[in-house]
Amino acid sequence: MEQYQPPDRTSWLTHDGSDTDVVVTSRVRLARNVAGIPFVSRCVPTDLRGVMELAEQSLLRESIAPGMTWVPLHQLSQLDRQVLVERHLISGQHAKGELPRAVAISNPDESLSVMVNEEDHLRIQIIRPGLALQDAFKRIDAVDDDIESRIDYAYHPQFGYLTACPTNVGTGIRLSVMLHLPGLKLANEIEKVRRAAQAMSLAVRGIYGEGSEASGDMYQISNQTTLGKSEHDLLDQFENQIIPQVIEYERVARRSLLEKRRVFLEDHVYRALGVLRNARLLKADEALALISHVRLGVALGLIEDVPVRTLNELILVSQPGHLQRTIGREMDQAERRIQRASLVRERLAPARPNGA
Amino acid sequence: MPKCDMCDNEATVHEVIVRNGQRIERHLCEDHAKEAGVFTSQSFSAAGQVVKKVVMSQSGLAEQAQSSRSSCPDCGLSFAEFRQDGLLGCAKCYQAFADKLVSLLRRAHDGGDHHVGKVPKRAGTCFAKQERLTALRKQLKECVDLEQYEKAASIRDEIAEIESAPAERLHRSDSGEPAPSHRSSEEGEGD
Ligand SMILES: [Zn+2]
Ligand SMILES: [Zn+2]
Repeated sequence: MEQYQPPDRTSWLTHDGSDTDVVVTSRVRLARNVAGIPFVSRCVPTDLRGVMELAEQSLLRESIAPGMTWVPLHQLSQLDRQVLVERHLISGQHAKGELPRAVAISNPDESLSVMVNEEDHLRIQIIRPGLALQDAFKRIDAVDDDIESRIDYAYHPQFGYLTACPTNVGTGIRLSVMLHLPGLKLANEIEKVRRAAQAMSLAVRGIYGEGSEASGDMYQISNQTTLGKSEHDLLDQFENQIIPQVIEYERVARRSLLEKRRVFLEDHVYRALGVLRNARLLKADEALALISHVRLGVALGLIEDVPVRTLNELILVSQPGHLQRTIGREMDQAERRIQRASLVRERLAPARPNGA
Repeated sequence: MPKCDMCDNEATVHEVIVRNGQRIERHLCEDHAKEAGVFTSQSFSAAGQVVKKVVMSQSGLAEQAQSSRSSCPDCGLSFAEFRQDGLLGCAKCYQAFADKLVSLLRRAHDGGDHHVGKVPKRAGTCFAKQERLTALRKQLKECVDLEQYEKAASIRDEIAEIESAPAERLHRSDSGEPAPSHRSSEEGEGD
């Protein structure tokens, strides 16, 4: 059985980036298919293996990224697959099934990942901490060119890059920005964001993508239009219009809470930290919601002894897959709640004065 | 099993040629098709087996025939199947269902129905050639319909000239292994 050992230093957990008080990560994804082979849903195993071989040869090269790791998912344990989903390196759909499929990941930063034989033959992704779409796009564009020097893509002059689902055809690009919006949530103004996004044909989703509820006040904004709008127009719309606007809404909401409802806000933040530092049982959703409030407290300077990086790590480690991986064995839900609480207590323990 | 016009082997290549408004059908085995210089298009589905293809050469009627067909000539997906799970079966599906897809694409993409943005370097140049061919084939059909055979002949010469220009890469793989190829630049395909 293959294994995936997540690296300790994952770049997108670092919190070094711009606007990280509100923006958690920026992601760019490209959907691509190999010319001359049917799309994945119409592939027989021979086709799938052919794509795997081609992808492995094309992706495991220094010019793509140093330290590319090839992970054959169909040979991976369910737990390891779940860990990859929680790290946003593969989709939930990609984790399922036993047909030949893989993900290639740049190690140790995990900033580049390529899903092989998901809905499309290739789904290339770059993930960066903070607001960094332009930077992520430049990188993915170069990776795309490099792959295309080895693989002929399915392309049509009218429809662009051809994808299995017509909703991705054209540029095949998806920009996704993960935003932490606790201020707007507390102020009951999330609807305002949804409306602004909808007016621009953008989707607002929860932390784990399609259909998922926003937990821990994390929201993903992504484009839905891929045909008839260039990559650069889309980037411009995101980086110069919609995202700065949402960041500004959130900051105004936070400032207003601080000025007008300070005690309410402080109670929220310190109560959350208190629960995390003392609870003996923690559900995953509950942990996320509390971590979100602590994160808000850190961003507003109310809490000074908790680094944001620790909070980002706790969000991951609270997920069922990571939790079981950290403890080193499979656990049922009841046991996970106990272990989650103890892990969170340990990592958030206040720094003790010298000699204590 | 249909037999080859030239021998007793199974015919895997079916050719339809329209000459001076007359329809001529030919059924050939792989070897005789090669000998006759008929280009076949192959795909790698069905466990590496070579899938039989209908090749409509030169006349440029392929496009019209395809769009009226209810299933994709390359992968066999029907439009009804596509409606069920929302996934197309292969690149050729876009051509086969182009008419029906356009309105769906406009709805999904805020009115967009034409690609704007990045063009892959190699496939991009291939398609410039392909677009020229598509335009010429359309003209050819119009000429045949209007019985302007002299003009049609000169268009056909031009098509032949473009088509015989050396291909950038090898487009065929007879071993059945999924070597990727530009479908687009395979001659006689009419896309
Ligand atoms: Zn024969
Ligand atoms: Zn098809």
